[in-house]
Amino acid sequence: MNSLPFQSLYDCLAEFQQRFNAHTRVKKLVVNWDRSIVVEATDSASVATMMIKELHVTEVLSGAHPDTSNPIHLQAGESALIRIFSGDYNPAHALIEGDLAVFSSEKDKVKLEAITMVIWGL
Amino acid sequence: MPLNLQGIALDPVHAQWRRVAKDVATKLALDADRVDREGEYPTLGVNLLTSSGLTGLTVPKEKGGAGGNIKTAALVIEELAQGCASCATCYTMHLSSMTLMAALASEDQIERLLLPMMRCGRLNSVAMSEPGSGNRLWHTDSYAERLPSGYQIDSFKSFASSSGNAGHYIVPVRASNSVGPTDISLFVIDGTDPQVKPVGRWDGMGLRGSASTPVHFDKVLVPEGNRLGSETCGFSMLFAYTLPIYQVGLSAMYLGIAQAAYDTAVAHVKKRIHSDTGLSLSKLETVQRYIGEMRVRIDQSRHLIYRVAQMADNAVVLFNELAEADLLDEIIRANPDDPFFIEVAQVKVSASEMANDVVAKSFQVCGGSAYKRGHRVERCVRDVRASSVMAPSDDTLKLIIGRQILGIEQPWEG
Repeated sequence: MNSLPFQSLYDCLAEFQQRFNAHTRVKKLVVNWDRSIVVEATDSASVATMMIKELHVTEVLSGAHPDTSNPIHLQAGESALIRIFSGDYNPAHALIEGDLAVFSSEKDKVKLEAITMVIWGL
Repeated sequence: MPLNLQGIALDPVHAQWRRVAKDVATKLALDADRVDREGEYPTLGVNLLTSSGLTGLTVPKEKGGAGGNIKTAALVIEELAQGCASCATCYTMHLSSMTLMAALASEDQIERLLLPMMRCGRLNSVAMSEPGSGNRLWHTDSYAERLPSGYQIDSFKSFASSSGNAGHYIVPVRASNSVGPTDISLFVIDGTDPQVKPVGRWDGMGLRGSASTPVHFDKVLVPEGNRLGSETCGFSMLFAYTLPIYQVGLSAMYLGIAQAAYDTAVAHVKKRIHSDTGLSLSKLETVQRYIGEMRVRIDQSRHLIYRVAQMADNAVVLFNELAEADLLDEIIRANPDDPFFIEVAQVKVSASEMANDVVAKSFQVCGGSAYKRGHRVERCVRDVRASSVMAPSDDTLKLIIGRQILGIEQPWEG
C-alpha cells in the first residue's frame, strides 16, 4: 500500500510551489536569493529543479537544471523527498537522520535551514 | 587511539584559547582559597581575564572581539572553573551578556558600550531573577516606565553575579506596566550609576567570591540608546543569544569543578599508603570502582556539553539569518518548544547531576582530609551544590523537558 500523499516527486514539488508562494514569512528570507534547487531521488530516476526568482518559486522543471554559480543539490530517497516536500518530514530532522544530503555553499545551507524553520517549524 | 579525528578533535583556535585559559586558571588557583575563605570578589582574576583577551572571547572579530564561539567558551570556562569556580561563575555571566550585546548592539552601541566592555577591566552581569518568579526566568514582574528622555527602571533582582563590581548590568524588564510578562525590554545599565544598589554582602555556602547579592535598580534613568533591540524583543533574544551560552557555560563550569575534584581524588589515592597494611589506597577495589565511575560520568558529560555547544554555535548562525530578515522574534515565539532549547535544558541538568555525583565520590575517596576546611575537594563540595538550584533550577528544567516530550504547553506560553 502506498501511503505517500503524491505519486511523483514532480507532483509533490508542484504543490510545494503553491505553498511556498503563499507563505508571507518565507518571502522575507529569499530577498535577493534567486536560486535553482536540484532535487534528486537516489533510488529512482526522478530529478526535478525548483527555480526561485524574485521571492517566488517560479517553476518546477523536470530534470536537473543547476545554477553553476550557486549550485544547490538535495539528495534523498524518493519517498523521503515526497514526505519532506509534502510537509510530513522536517528536512532538518531528515538531515540529522541521514535521510537527506545537501550539497551547497555553507551560506546557502544556512538559508535553507532558516527557510526550513519558517516553513516546517519544529 | 585512532589518528583520524576529523570532526572529533578540537580545532587550533579552540586549543589556543584553552591554553590561554589553562594559564589563567593556574594563576587563579593561587588566589582561589583566599577568595573563598574571605568571600572576596576575584579582582585579580578579572584583571587576568582582561589582560589575556578573554573578556571579548565570544564577540565576533568584526566587532572588536576574539571571534570565539560557544564551544570555545565552554573549553575556557571549564579550565577557569578548575582554578577558581567563583571567577568562572562571574565570567560565565559576563560572556552571556557579551554574546547578547554582540548580537543586538547597534553601531553606536558597539562604539559606546561593547568595545569599552572588553577593555575596562570589569565584567558584566546579567540581572534576571526576581523575587516574585524566582528561578522561573521567563517571567518578569518589574517594568520600564517611559520618560521623554528615555526610561526609568525600578527593579529588584534577586541574584546578580559580580554585584557591586560589574561594569554594566544587562537588565530585562517588561517594556511597560501594560504589557505581558514576556514582552521584555533589555537595558544596559552602567554599574557606577549611584541608583544601582547592591543589597548586602554575598555570604553563600559556595561560589563565595561571586558577589551574587541582590541588586536594586532604584528608579535608574536609562537613555533610550541603552535599550538593546526593539522594545519587546527581549524574551526571544534572551532565548536565542543568552540562554544557550549561559546553560552551556554553567555546564562547563560544573564540569571544571568535577574535574578538579576528580584530579585531587586521583592524586590522593595514588599518594596515600595505609601504614597497617603497607598498601596504597589505589589497591582497594572500592576506590578503583569510584575512580572508574567518576571518569565515565565526566566523559559522558563533557561530550554532551561539546555536542550541545556545537549545536548552539550552529543555532546562532541560523538565528542571525532569521534576525537579518526580521523574523527571529516571531519565529522564537512561534516555536517555544523547539527541540534545540530542550537540548540546552538537558545539558545543564546532566552536568549538574554529574558534578554533584563526582564531587561526592571524590569526597568519599579523600575521606577525612576532604572534610577539613581549605581542602580542594571541600571547596568543590560547597561550590558544586549551587548547580542544581542556580536558575533555572534542575527541577524547573526537568519540568520543561517533560512538558515538551508530553506535548504540554510550556509555562511561558499561557
